[in-house]
Amino acid sequence: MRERKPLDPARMDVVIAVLIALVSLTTALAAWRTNIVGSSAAQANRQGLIDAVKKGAAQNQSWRRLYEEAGYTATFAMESAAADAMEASEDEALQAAAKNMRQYLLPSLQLLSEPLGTQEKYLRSDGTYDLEKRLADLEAEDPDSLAIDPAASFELADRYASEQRWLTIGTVLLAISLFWLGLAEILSERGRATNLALGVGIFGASLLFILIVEIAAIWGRGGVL
Amino acid sequence: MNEPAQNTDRFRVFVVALTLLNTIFAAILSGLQVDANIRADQANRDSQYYALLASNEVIRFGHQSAYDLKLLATTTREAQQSLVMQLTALELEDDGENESATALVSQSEVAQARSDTGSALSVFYTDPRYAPSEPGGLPDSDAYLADLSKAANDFVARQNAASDEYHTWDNKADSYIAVLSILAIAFFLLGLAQSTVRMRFFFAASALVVMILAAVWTGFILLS
Repeated sequence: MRERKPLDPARMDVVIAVLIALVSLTTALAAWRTNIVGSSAAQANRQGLIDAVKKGAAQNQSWRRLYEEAGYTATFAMESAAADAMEASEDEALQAAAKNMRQYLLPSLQLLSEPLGTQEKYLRSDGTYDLEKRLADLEAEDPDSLAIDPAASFELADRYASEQRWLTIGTVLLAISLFWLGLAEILSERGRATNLALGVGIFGASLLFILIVEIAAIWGRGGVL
Repeated sequence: MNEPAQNTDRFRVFVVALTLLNTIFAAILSGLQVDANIRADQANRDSQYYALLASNEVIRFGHQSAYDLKLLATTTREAQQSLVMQLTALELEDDGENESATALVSQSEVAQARSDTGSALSVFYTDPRYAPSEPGGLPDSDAYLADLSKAANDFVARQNAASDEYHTWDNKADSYIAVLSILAIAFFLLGLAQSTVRMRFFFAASALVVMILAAVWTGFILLS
């Protein structure tokens, strides 16, 4: 019976073929994971833009309401001043008109200007109205919209993108390992062991690299895959 | 060992070394291509985000300017009406129609009260940046409009910068793909150099030339 050497070519062929299959599978998995991470980055970017649209719509609504109230408040203030002037005049017709204005027109205008024109907290000492305070209150009325933060989604997307970059490098390393293993399989004589060692070494380094990248990225996202 | 066999061995080592170099080159290029794509995506996102912010800002300043300008127009109209009624009252007084003149003066005072209250609420008269520098002067509406549109213009400027950045990275990503395609040709030529005998030097040299061209192009892309 013929004695088999540890580096028997036939045995090596099988071992290297199994290694190539293993590295191919790992490369495919790494490429899949890289794509998943890329998709997550795209999804986070998309979510960020959706959030920006929602937040913008809510802000626009608040601005619209603010200036609508401000318009009615200004009209109310002007008509109140006009009624004061009418009452102060010696013209009886104007005095009568002022009385009717106070009875019918001004209450309606005041109602429309609520709450900016009616609540003391919005009135400044110089007689103007605190529109910034009213805007803050309007935005606080919709806490869901106020809590929307597109920047958070964009930051998450950037984290995924960073992971995608590093995983790509890992995948490339796996491809290089595959190349060396391929050479080891083809070359049957001198250099085969070196090629095999290089292929296995790069494969191991790639696996370690990908593992570190994944752990760091998942830890950075607070445990989110 | 005879000399032709030694040459063949050296040549094989040379081709393998070239193949390895090409592989590493392709691997680095793949990484650069992915990086360029990611940067292009980020810049594209930023561009869209700034466009949204600019559009929101335009809507906001539309609301604000509609309010401010309407108030200014009302204030000015009431002041002018008051002035016209006062002038008319003076004319009526001269004509001896004192009762009508008094009524008009009262109405003039009512219009003036509206105008004064409007002025007290208007940014054009309360904000020192826009308020008239002298009594009876006109507010600085140009400064008002410039300040109002500044935020939107800033967003548009950022949007344009992000858009330019997107095009730069997108073009780089496309160029890297082209270089990768050229490296595929180099791989093909190196494969032929290993499998043929008569033309092996020609194929190896061609592969080397292609690799050098790809390297030069990559340098240009990196520097652009």
